[in-house]
Amino acid sequence: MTTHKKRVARGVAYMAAAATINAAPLFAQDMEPQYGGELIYAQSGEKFSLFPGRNTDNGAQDIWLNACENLFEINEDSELVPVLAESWEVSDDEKTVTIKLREGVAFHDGTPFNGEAVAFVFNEAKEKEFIYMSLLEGFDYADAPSENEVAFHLAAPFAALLPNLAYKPLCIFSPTAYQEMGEEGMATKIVGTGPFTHEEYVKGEYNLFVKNENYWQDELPYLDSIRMLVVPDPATRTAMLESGEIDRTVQISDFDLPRLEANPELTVRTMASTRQFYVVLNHMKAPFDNQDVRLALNYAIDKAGIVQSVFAGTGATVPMAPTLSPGVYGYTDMRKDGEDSIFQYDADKARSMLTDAGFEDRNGDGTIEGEDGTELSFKLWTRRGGTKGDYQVAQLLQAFLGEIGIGIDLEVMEGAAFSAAVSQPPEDAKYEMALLSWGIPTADPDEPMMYFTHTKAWKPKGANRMFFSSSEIDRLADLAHTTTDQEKRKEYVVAWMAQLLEEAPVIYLPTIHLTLGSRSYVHGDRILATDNYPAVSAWIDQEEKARQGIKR
Amino acid sequence: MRNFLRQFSRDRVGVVFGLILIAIYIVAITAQWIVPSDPYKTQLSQGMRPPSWEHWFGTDQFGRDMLSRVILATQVTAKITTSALLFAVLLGVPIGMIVGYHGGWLDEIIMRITDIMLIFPIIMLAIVIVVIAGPSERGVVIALGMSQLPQFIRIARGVTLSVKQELYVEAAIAAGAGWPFILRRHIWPNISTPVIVQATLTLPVFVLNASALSYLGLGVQPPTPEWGQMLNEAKELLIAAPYLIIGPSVALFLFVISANLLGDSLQETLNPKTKGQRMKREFQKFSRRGLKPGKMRVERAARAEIQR
Repeated sequence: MTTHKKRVARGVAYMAAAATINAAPLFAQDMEPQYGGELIYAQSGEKFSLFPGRNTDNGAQDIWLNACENLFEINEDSELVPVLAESWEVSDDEKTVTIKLREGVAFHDGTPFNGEAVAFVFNEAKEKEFIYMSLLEGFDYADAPSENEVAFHLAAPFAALLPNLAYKPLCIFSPTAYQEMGEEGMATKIVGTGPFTHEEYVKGEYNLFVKNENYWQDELPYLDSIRMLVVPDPATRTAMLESGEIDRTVQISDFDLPRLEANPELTVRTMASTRQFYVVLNHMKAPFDNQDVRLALNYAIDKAGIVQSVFAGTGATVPMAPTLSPGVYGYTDMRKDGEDSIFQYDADKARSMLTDAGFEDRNGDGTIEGEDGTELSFKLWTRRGGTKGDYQVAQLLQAFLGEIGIGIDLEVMEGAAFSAAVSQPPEDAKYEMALLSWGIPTADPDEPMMYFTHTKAWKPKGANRMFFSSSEIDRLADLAHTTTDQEKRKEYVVAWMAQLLEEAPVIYLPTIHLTLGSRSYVHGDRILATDNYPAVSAWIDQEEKARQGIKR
Repeated sequence: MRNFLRQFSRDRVGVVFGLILIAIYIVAITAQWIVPSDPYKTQLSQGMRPPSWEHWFGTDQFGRDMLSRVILATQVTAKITTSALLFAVLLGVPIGMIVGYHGGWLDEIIMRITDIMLIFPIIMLAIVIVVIAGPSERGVVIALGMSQLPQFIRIARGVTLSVKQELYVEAAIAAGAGWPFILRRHIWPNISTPVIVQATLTLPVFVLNASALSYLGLGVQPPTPEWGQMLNEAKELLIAAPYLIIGPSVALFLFVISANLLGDSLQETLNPKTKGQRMKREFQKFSRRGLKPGKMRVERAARAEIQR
């Protein structure tokens, strides 16, 4: 048990250090919270499913966390705190973790929250292969030793169980509602224990959450309702925030920040995050199964240039390690001496690597061909405005790869269609390259190791959309997953990153800072270190809102 | 022809905007050779520079010269709209002539199909077609061409129906001429004028809709520059770099207004009959609203009303 606590504490210490650019006071602490009002929060894209077992999209988490809560939470100070759990105990052989649950909690459908319900969720997750199962590698089954206890039985001890339980998709939904509606029903209606109940779902427009009068935390929440809008265009979201049509938004363009910061009626925050852009290369399609080609593609991208021109130089940082960002346990600067990023931009090197691998321009048309004459010409799938700067990054990728003679056609897709299309098993995956971003909400390397690059995490199970498989990567991940010796674990993590640099399963791109804006009359809201936004203690200063001339 | 030129040259508006349109096409044709710098060359250190002697319209987010991109976009737009026009004319006119001449069930079917197509607004029809054909230059050409196809079918059919009854057509039939010959020799000469006028008036519609499609991300795909797409990108940086909208909007405005006014002048010069009829119709509309006809000013107001 002590090992768990210590490890979490260390991981989160890094996270806190990384979040130093987090400016602006979060609370107006001398003010009394006020009840009432509706908070309108505009998000970037439509979600293809709100069922936590099938979608780990960060924006979707922000929607369902209003209604569905986890056993634990990693709070804004990056500490692991119990939510629906009260305390926990680990058996001597470290194979059974018993969690005592909060009493007197009920799901929105009136059924009681208890050990049975929690055990059902995780047993069902294992049986139906919920998307997050690779995070629980080693989990055998769960049962309820008593009404208010749940026991996790592990086939092998694993260190990251508790922080992983704080990952928002592992929230506890109502088994009764799930059995009635099925996964399809839960995709548009979430039934949990949260501070708000999910009242309305209008596809492509909004989700409405209404105050849960029977919430287990007395006197909370303050807000009457939360309306989550879908507004794909960042410029529109910014304009809506400025005009007071919405109270809060995310993914603001870095070029708009100076202007918004100067507005006293707005609170703008920039936060370090673990969200790293990357290009999925489908290893099922040649030549992405060729390691030399993948390495060459990595060298062809000017990461510093992307940070400069897309993120105004301040909204992102170049990647300094593969997949992991500062703040994640085990993160180590993996750059070579004197280089500004991993795979420092070197177009000549990229070209010569491709030539050595047998790819060159044989017919003089400007595009390089393989030995059999097939052109290196690919479709790059991207969204527009899903994550700030995505479309611009895609255009730059096209330009950089064009420089070394690789033809790229952009295919811009709508959010929900894109998410669904990049969640297919290998035989159905149509993409060659796709631009995505990746965050580590548990601030623990276990998630990327088990969920992102592991062979067992091939879509549709995990997030290995590359269909990348490396025995060495898997071996290091398994070792890190099962060891309880923290020093050793860190060694494995560093070795794992070094191996990623050898094999380059994806194209590594900059890590963005989150840009969030809200009206200054919104108080008491929290932004967790995991980028999530629970509005349970948020409240609106009605007087100030009226003074700003906002009537709704 | 000389008669036409003499008449047309009296219409100063038509001449001026006709010359502008010709200039735009010259720019479009010679785009590759006259661009001041490579429109595709990204220079990340030179991003978002305001207009200067070096870059008349500034540089975009990736340091590409906006003037060069506007010039190349002129070519792209001219190519797309001209192809779409050819598509609509070369497909629509023969169909219209044939169904108009033969009549019968084929005529019924084609006309009902065009009726259905005419129900939908052009842009909506175009979006549906682009979604099916895929967002690309070819997709936009097909979409625009298809969206205006009914107009050309109807014009060709209408003229064919009336000319068919002329004595010289009957004489040709009596002399044993086949229908392809009659269509070519006797009917086509009557159709060419309204088709040319309609084509000129369709051009600005195509330009605007091509840009609209690109603005929505359904048209030409990056890195190929297109005005609508450039405006969309500029919109995201509207406050940080407002100068980015200047180039594409000026170009779009010039192309559309010159094609529009030229089309109008051509219509008046080539077809005094339609002019008279249209004016009469507009006069009636205005007199109903309590305006007194008879003055040239009212005539112009009426003309402006039509264009709106």
